[in-house]
Amino acid sequence: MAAEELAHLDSTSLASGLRRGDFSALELMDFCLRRIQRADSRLQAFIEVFTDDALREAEAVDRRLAAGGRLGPLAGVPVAIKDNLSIAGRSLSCGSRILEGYVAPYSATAVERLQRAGAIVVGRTNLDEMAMGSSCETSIWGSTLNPWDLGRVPGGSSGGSAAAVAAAMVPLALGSDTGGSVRQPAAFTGVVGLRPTYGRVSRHGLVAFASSFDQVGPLARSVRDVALALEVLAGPDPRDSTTTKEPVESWGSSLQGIEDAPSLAGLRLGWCELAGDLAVDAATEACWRRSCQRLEALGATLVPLQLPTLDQALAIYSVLAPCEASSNLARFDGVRFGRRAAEAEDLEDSAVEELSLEDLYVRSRSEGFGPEVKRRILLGTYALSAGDRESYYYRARRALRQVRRELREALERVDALISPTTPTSAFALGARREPLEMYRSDIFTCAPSLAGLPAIAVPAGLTGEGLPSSLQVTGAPFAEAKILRIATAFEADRQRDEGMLRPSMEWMNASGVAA
Amino acid sequence: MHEIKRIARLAKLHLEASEEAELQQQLARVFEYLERLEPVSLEGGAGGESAQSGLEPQDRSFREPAAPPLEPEPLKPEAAPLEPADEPGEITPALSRSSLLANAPRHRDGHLVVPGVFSAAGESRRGR
Repeated sequence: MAAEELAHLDSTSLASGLRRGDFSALELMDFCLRRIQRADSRLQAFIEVFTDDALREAEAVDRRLAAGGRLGPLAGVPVAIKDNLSIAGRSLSCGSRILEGYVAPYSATAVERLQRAGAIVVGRTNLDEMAMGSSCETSIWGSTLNPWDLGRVPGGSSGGSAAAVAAAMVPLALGSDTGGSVRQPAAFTGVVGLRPTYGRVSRHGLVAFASSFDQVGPLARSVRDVALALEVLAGPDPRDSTTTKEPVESWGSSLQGIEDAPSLAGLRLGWCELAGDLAVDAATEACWRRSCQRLEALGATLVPLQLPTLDQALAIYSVLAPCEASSNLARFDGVRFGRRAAEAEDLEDSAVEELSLEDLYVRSRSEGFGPEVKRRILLGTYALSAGDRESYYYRARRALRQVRRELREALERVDALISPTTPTSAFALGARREPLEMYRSDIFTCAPSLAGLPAIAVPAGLTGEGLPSSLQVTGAPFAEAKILRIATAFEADRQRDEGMLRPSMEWMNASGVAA
Repeated sequence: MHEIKRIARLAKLHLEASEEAELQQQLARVFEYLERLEPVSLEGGAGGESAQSGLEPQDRSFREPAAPPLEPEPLKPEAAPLEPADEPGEITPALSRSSLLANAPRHRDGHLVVPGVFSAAGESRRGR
C-alpha cells in the first residue's frame, strides 16, 4: 500500500489493515511522524512529539502481531493527546506558564485506556491556556493554525488535537470539552468530535477547569472512529466518583451496515429557529439548510421546537464555568507544583526582605497565568463574591435548572436535537479580540454541556469560502448509540455526494521541507 | 466593576495598572450581557427546589446507592484477619511522597518549603 493512502484511512480501517498485514505498525507510525515533520512546523498542533518511544511501541505491536499475540481494538493506531491530560512521566503544560517544569506522576484514565487498547501516544497537542478559549490562540506555545487556511484559527480549546486529525498527522486524538472545546474545533477543521454524556468517561488525570461540565472526548476522521474510541474510554472509574455504571456498549460495531443503506426513517429530530441569539452567518445558514434537507431526504421528521431558555445558555455558562474555574485554579499557588515566582526564591534567602506566603501566591499566580485565565478567574471570583441570593452565581444556577429541564423534556418528545455546531466557520487569527465575541462561538455547544447531554459534531460540507461547516446532534443522557447512528447515516449520505472533507494543504509542498 | 482591586485580591492576583483598566472594561461588557439572567426572587426558586444545587432529581442516579450503616462490631480478644472489602472503597496504591515532591519547586527533608507564616515579614504584612 502506498504510504500516502494511509492519510485517508480512519482508525477503524487502519486497525483492521494492520491486522490483515496490509502494512505494519512501524510503517504507519513512520508515515505519521513524517507527516508531522512536514506539516507541523507550520501548523504547530503539537507541543511535543515522542518520536523514539512511538517507533519503539510500534515495533512492539508488530512483534506481538507476528507472534500471534492478542491485540487491542486500537492496536498500533497513533493517537495525539491534548496537553491537559496527564501522561505518566511526560510534561504537562495546559498551555500555561504556571505548570512550567511539571511532569505528570501518573496517567489520566482516558490515556491509560487508549494505551491498554493498543493505541500509541504520539505526542501532546496545543490548546488554549487551561482549556479556556475557542481559538487556540492563548497558549504560551503560540497559536495552532487551521490546515484549511493558515490565516485562520483551528478553534479551541482542543485546537491542536483537531488540527492534528484534520491534517492527517494522526487518525485519532483526545480532547476535553467543557462548553464546546471538542465540538467547536472539530467543526472548524472538518473532523468528527464527540462529547460523551457527563459521567460516561473518567476525568481522572484531566486538569480541572469547570468540574460540573468537563468531559473527555475523542476527535477523529469518522463517526465510527469516535464510537470505537468511546467504547475504549467509557465506563466507571474508581478514581473519578462522577463516572457512572451505565453499560458500555459496542458502539463501534453497532454502526456497521448503516453506511451502505443510510436511513433515518421513523426518527424525529428537534430543531430551533436560528434567530436572535442563535443567529448564524449566511454561509453557515446555507450549509445548515442543506443538512436539514439531507436529513429529511433520509427519512427523518424535523420537528420545530421552542426552547426559550437556550437564549440564556451562554450567559449561564459564562457565569458558572468561571466560578468553578476560579475555585479549581486556586490550587496553582507556586508551592506544591508548577512555577514559583522567581523573585520569591531569590528574596527568601536574604534576611533583609522576606516575602510573605501571601506574596508568594500572588506573584506566582500573576506571573503564571495569562490574560484570558486571569479574566475568567476574576469573573468567577466576582460572580461568587456578591454573597447573597442576588449573586450572578445564584441566578445562573437557577437558570441552569430550567435549561436542563427544558432540554431533557424536549428529548422525551424527539429522538435528538440538531443545530449547527458553530454560528460561523473558522475565523481569522486575531479576529476576536473582545472576550464576549469569542465566547459566542460556543452558543450552540454550551447548552448540551450545561445539561450533561451527549453531543456530536459531524462535518456538514464546505461553505462557499471552502471552509468546513458542521452539524451538531444532541441526545438524551446516555443515548450515545442513537446520536452515533444518526451522525453515521448523515455522514455516509453526505460523503456519497460530496466525498470526505480533506484540506488540500498545498502549503505543505510549498514549504520546501523534505518529506 | 470598580471593585476590580478587591476582586483581584480575593483571587490572589496582582494586576498592573494597564491590565486593570482593560480588564475592567471587558468584564463590564460581559456583566452587561449577563444581566439577561433573571434576578432570583427572595421567595425561593420555582417549585421551591433548592437553586443552590441546580441538580435535577434524576441526577442523583449518577451516585452510588448509599452503603448500609455499619454494624458496630463487638471487640474480640483476638483480632480476626481482615476480610477484603467487597464494597467499593478498597485501598489501592497511592502515589509516593517522593514522586509528588518531585514536582515541588522547593522541598527539604520530605516537606514543602514556604516562607515563614509567623515570621516578622508575615506579621507586618498581615493587615494589608
